[in-house]
Amino acid sequence: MLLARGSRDRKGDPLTTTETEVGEARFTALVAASWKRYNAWEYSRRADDVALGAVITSYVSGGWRLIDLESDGTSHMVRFQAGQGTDRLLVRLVALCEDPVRAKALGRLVEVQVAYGLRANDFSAIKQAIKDELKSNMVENASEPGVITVDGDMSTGYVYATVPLILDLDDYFDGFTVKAPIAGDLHVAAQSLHKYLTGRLAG
Amino acid sequence: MLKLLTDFAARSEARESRDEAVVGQIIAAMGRRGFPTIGFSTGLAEDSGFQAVQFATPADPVLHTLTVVLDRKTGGGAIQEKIIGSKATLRMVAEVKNFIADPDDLLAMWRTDARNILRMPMMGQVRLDHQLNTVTATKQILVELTEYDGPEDTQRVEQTLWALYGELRDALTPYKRASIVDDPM
Repeated sequence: MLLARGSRDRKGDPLTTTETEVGEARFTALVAASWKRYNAWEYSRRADDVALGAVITSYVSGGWRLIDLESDGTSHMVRFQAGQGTDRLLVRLVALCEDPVRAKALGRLVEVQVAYGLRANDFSAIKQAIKDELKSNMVENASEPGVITVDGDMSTGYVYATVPLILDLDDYFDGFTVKAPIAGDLHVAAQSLHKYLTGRLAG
Repeated sequence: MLKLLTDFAARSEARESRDEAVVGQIIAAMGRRGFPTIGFSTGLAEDSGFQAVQFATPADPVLHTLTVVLDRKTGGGAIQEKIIGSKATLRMVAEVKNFIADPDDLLAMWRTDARNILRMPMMGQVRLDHQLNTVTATKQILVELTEYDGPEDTQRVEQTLWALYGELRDALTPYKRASIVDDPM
């Protein structure tokens, strides 16, 4: 034992080999317990990143093309374009409970904005959508879950319908293991937005 | 007129988003292999071609994490893409983390670390780096983005990733020690 030589107790008396081994075993146990606590925090901090990757994997494997990715660690935005068409899907994901105490109390909550985009064929549809967005910015409840707002992007000619949701990642993931596909729930939101937007553009 | 403008914008967007499309293919390939994403970094506003994604490797008993960095160098504009292509560097960093606490093991690891730091070890094009309880291996290659960004390029993306992964893993395997806790990643 390398450290048995010269190791001393708190009174300064030399330790026996057995005492040194007992001390080392206790030290190892303390480090192991510390790692387990640290890892619980790491899981909590990275849950939103795991969800974002699962969304990208699901859509890209389904033939959609990733055309935009922005992330600052807690706020993420991805934009996809349909492989065979021009429809677009935008997902914004913000972690609300990275702290393990908050996550234990409330769940691993994330604020998710799903936006479905259709390429508009006429200028007036985009102009109207921008007007609608300006109006909805003045309405207090526009950011509440389930409220659909419409916005236009003049530079690319797209009109988007957006809905905010609050999801609990514990419903979809157990650590890194997928319990239920989060992209499936985002897809049903996108389907509803597509139906709503098609109706709006049809007048 | 609107259609003409939006068609032009769409072509320009498709060219500009080629690096994002490749990152999407990389994340999907890793996800299918069972390596979930655990961190994203998309760089500074003035360096929009830089994208780094970190993956956990729960199915791999040797590695702790893998990081893939795609840094676009050329091809943002139509003329530049036509003349020199859409080039980017693809860097993979594999990480081994040793969860040890026994003073004898720590001392042995410190001696190996010190030796390796002095030698600046190189294994072919793989660069090894020791930092306390972590050992990383890094390799960087140059890629043409147009060969990796479409759904038809899935196999090429996977072949490139697994070739890098295998090389880095082989370089790191000798440095993995028995751990006192399960590797969380």
